[in-house]
Order: sequence, then C-alpha cells, then structure tokens
Amino acid sequence: MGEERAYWNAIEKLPRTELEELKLKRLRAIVRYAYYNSPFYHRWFEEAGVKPDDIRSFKDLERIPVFRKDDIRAERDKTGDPFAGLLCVPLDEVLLINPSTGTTGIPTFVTYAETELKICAEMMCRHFWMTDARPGDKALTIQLNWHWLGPPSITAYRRLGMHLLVDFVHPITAERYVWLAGFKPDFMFMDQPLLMAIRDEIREHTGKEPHELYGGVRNLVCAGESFPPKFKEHLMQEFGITGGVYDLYGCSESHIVAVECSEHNGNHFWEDMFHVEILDPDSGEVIPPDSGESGEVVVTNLFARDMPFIRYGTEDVAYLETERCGCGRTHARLIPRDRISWRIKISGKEIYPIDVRRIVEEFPETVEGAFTIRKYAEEMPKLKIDMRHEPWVRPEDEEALARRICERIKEKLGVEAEIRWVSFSGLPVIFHKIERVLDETKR
Amino acid sequence: MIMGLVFNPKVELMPKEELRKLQERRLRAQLRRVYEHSTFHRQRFKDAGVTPEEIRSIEDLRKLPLVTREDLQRAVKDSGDFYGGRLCVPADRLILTISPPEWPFTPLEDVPVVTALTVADQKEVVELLTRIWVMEGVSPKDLVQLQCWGWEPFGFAFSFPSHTFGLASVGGVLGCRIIPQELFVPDVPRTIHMGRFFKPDVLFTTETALATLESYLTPVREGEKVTVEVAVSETTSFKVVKEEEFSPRSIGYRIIVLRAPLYELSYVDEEKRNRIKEVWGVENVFTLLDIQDNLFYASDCAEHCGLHVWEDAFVVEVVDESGECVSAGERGDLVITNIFAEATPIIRYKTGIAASFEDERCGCGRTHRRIFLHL
Repeated sequence: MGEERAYWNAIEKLPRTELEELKLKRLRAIVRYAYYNSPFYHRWFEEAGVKPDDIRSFKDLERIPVFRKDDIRAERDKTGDPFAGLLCVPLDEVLLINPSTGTTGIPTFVTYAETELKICAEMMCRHFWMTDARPGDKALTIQLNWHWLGPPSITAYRRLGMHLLVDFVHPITAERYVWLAGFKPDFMFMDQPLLMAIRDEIREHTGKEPHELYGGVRNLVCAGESFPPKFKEHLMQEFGITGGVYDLYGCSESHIVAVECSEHNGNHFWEDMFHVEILDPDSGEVIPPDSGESGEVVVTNLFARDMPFIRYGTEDVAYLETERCGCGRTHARLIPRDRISWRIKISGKEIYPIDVRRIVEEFPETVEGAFTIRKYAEEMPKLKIDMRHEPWVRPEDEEALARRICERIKEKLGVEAEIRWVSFSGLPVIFHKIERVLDETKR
Repeated sequence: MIMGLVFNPKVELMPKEELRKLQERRLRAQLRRVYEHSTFHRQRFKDAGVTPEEIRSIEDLRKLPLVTREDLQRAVKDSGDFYGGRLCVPADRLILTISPPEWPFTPLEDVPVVTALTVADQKEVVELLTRIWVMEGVSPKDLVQLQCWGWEPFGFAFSFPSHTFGLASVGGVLGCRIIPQELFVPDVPRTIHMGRFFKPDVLFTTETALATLESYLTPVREGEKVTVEVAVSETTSFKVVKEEEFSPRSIGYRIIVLRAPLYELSYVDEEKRNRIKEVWGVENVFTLLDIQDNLFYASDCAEHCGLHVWEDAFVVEVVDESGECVSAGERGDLVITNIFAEATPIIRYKTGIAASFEDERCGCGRTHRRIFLHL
C-alpha cells in the first residue's frame, strides 16, 4: 500500500499562476462559445456592446452585465423557450432536465448532458474525498428525485466505491431515520434542518438520544444553509459524529458546489471549472477577493457546453478568499453568508439573519438557531423574531432567556429586538428549509 | 408472429422447454448460493429438512416453505442484523441498500426489511426493466417524465442515465432523456409545469398521482379555463398555468405507465385503460408491478393479457390458502423466487397479492409466464 492520497485530483493544488492561466483560457473559450451558440448570450453581449474578442482578461469580463433568475424568467416568458435561450445543444443531447427548487418563484430549468454530468461528478468526487469519504464507506443520503445535486453526487459515490442508502427527504418522515439507523452509516449527506427534525423524531419515538442511534458516523456533509461554528460542535455532540461536519453550498444555475475542507475556513470550489466574482449588492462594483467584504456571488461556469452561465448573479452573499488554504489546496474559498433577499434594515443598520444566528447560537438554549425574522416594514425600528428553544427549557424561564438574548443582540448589532417563542411547526418552512425572513409587507 | 419491438429476443422469445431448463439451472445455482452464504436461508432449509441438492426442478422448489414479510421482519429483529441474516455476499460488495417500499407518510412497520444490491444485481435489474420499457413501446430518444419517490431505485438508480459510468441504467441503455419528478402532492404543479414546457412522450406515475394530476387539469365546470397554482410558502406562490384552455390532453403524452408498487397496488383493466386513453389522449396505458424487496418488476405488453414475468430471472408461483401450488388460471397468492440476485434474494416470497397465471405463449410472441392481478 502506498501513501494515502491526499487529494482526489492533483489539479486541486495547482499553483495559482497556472490556475489563473488555465481559467483565463477556458473563460475566453466559453465566452466565445456562448456568444455563437446561445441566442440569449448573443443578444445579451450585443446589447452591452461586447464581442467575444473584447474579453481578454478577468477585468474585461466586467463589461458583460450580470444576469439573474428574473432575467431568465423574463426571457422565457418573452420567447416561450423553456431554457430562455441558454441551451446551446440540441435537446436530444440532454440526459436529464432538472427544475430549480422554486423557493423564490417559478422554477427554472437546468440540464445535464453527458460531458457536463461527468465533470460535475468528478467535482463531487473531489468534494467528497476532501470531506474524508473513502472507498467502502457506507453513505446515507437524502434526495429529492429532481434535485440537481442528486445525479452527480450519486455518480460520485459509485466512483468512490461507496455503499449507498438513499431515503426520502421530508421532516414529517424523519421517523424513517429511527428505522434506518441500523444501516450504521460512516458518511451522511443531508440538509441541516432535516437533521434537526430527525433528532426530534428520535427523541420522541425511542426516548433515546440521536448519538445512541447514529453515533459512529464519521463525516456529515450538511447543505441547505450556511451555519456558524457553535452549531457545528453541537451537531457533532448530538449525533456523536467522530470526524467532522462540513458545510456545502450550491446553486443549481451553473451547478457550482463549494464544500469545506478539514480546515473549516470556507468552502472550496474548483476554480478550473468556475470563475467567481463578488459584487457589491448596492453599487454593482466588483469587490476584490481577500478584502474582508462580502457581496453577491457571481458565477461564470467554465465547462458547461450544454448550458453555460456567464456572470450569473446567484443572489447569495459570501466572502471570497484566495489565499492558500492550510489543507494545501490552492483553489479559492467562499464563505457563505445569506441570501440578498434576506437583508433587512433596522434603524438604519443592515442585518442578515446569519448575524442574528451567530449571536443566538451562543446560548445553549437556542444553539440550533431555529428562528425567523418577521419583516413588517422596509425600515424597521425593532427586530421581531419568532424562535424555538431546546425542549428542556422550562416555560417559566422563557421570558428571562428572551431578555438575555435581546440584550446580547443590542450589544453586538446595536438594534432593539423582540422574541416570540414558537414550536417548530410555527416557523415557515419551504422544502424543509426555514425561511429566515418572513416578508409580511408582501401580504 | 411477433408484435412490436423486443429488446432481448433470444430470451424473451425462447422456446418454453429451453426456458424451463435455463430457469432450473439458475434456480439450482441460486439455492446452492443462498444455502452456503446466508444464515437466514440455511436455517429455512434445515427447518424444512431439505438440502439444496434435493431441489432439481421447479416442482421440487415446493419442498421449501413460503416466506412472508413477517418472517423477514422477525429475522431482522431476532438476529439484530440490519439484513436479517439474508445477505449472501460480503458486505463490501454492496453498492446500494434500498429502504422498504412504504408510503412515506403512514406509520411505519416496527422493523424495516431492506434489500441490497451488488453491481451485478443492478445490471440484471436494468436488463429486465429495459425489456419492460421496450415492451411498453418506449423508444430511444423519448423524453420520459418519471414520477417516483426519491428513495425508489426505480428512479435514481435504474432509470436515470447518470449511471453510464460503468453502471447500466435503462435511460442510458435506451438513450432516453429523463425528467425526474417526485410523487408527493406539492410536486404535482411542478410535474404539470415541466410537462407543458417539454411535452414528454412517456409518463411513469401511479394511479393516485395520475388522478391528482387530472384533478388539477380539469376545470371545475365544463368550458371553464384552468389555473394551476403552487404555494411554496406562506408568502410565495406562482401559477404554472394561468387561466388557460388546458386539459390533460394538452401535455400530449404518448404512453402512460402506472406503477403499482406494494404501497399502492393497482391494475389497469380495459375499462380504466379506455378512460385514461380518452382523458389523456394517449396511445396506450400499462401497469408496472413493482415489488422492489425482491427486485421484481412485471408489466403487460400491447396485447394487455396479463403481466409478463421474466422467467429467466424469477420463479413465479400461485398458492392457495393451504400453501399448495395451484395450476394455470386458478386464483391464489402470488409467490416470487428471485433466481438472479446475489445480495438479498428472497426464495418463495409470499407477497399477499391475489393473482393467477397463464403459460400460453402471448399474442406478442413472448413465451414467459404471465400473471393476472385480482385486486
């Protein structure tokens, strides 16, 4: 036996200068390809007065305007083309058509042709290997049939030689996981809110603690939303996870996936396949990486010949860091924060739910951070939060706890807050994700 | 005379005598294998006082006792083993474990009875399913809309062409393009949404899911326009069909296949078929029986006289109340023996499904046994 391989693919530690060179070459090729093959990009570039040959550097890319989901929907309504002119190959070559989750409106469609599926699966292999998934491991995963992450991740499990158990994905079916604990998985990949539902089911149905059933799971990859460090520790304790908990960020458009490595200092994405920019959500200016400022994640997909995404605005907010990671990988890291639509204004201050979550999780009573902010006006004088606490909190302590949390919020964020205690079912949940900001102004 | 396309003519049209020999050869090999490698199966042989060598023919198989779901559960409970001692291969050869076929929203059985697959098992199931898809008239390059639960391997493992990487799948073999959908009710508008955009050729669904789709697409009063709206949260909803002249026919499916999994057994008889043809404007409607714990799938052909069983992969019997085998045409309980699976085959699995069988060669030319469900 040789030495254990540290990386799935040697390209993960390609020196940055070479990586940049490779990226630029691929970028220029995909821009040209999109211009000549996609009606949407042709028009989009023309309207901006850009020709493919004008794009010679990453700086030049800024001449192409960013487009977002609403642009896709508008184009689709105008032309009647389900792919809004983004599809560059005959539909015959497409293996799978997947809808987006539709949490923000009418679902858009993304595709996998054979090559793209292979590349996405290869990237998932790198991610899974990075999270310490190994041949022979038993993996328990959840999936919705139509979810775009399913095909590449299942293919990746197969390539890694893992043994898979797939199950259904709804919090009210969480009791199935009491049932399936006998599988004794080494590796789990699921959404973080679902894990909470599973924990509750295990307690309710068996009177046992989750770690008594699931203890011994080595690695947990969690998707759904970004989460702060205290909660990660909490998860590890609750489920008896011996290795690590890794956050996964993904966006169906462009198929970008970013996952934490063992250093847990941001989510790596593969720069030979993606170019990511961070945009100031207000001015639209590009924020340079490593500047310590967060902004909208704008993705350019460098490999997809079926459906390229060039400067796609994900409407997610993150930091971008390109400094070499302690794990030895040279590829950049995203540190996800939240969605732009969840940005709220309280007495002149801009706040994201993750800011609140970082404070809330410091209290053991509310470590899981199950809360929703009620947005009752564009400019609010006071933060109103619906929150659930751990089951062991006594009713008579609720008021004092709320007061302590509000004081801490005042201290850290400088805003007034008000907490209302609710049960989990009192929180708005879309496809097992808690809607962090409940927009009451739209009612 | 052979009707329609046949995926594997050598086997599907194999003369009865030859088929019988192949079936018995595989049966003997299977029994030797399960006896040698699985404590569960060995115990059953011992209880019946039989050795694998004593079973040479299909008739000899009757010496072995029937297995019910309760027996399988008890084995899991008693042994404390997740597979109930049924595993016939080393665990490191498994690539997939399937959770039991349960309606996800009903109270669960005490103990799950899971099924596992090796690479070879998956290949074989895909071969059998491909025969079925071709028999139902699914053609290469068809766009297939596939409704099933996320945990059902019929979808993600056997059908999606995402497993062309060294592993077979029906979509990959036939070159079909797939639109995956979930079965749960909030996903109905999504199915309609994608149906109207892409005009799929084939729909795999279940009877209740089809009825739900229909109810969404039929106006309350005749002549009225149709609106289909989906609410994703308290504040967000969207209309996938807005005040339009719309009917099930507007999607334009060519074939509808109603899957009949254990949690929702159904059978399309002539009356149902004609009604669905009329409402949806499809050319044909089929039943696909799906007993995934024994990796058993069976479907009718365009002749619609019974569901074809693949006898090179299964021994199918029908037994009366006392457990005795009945002859062709008589009703009883469907019993299935899997003679191909390496990992967790079930021998003489009493399914609790009322059925009868027929051995005559079908009008489509296939020689394998056909079963009729009496639900």
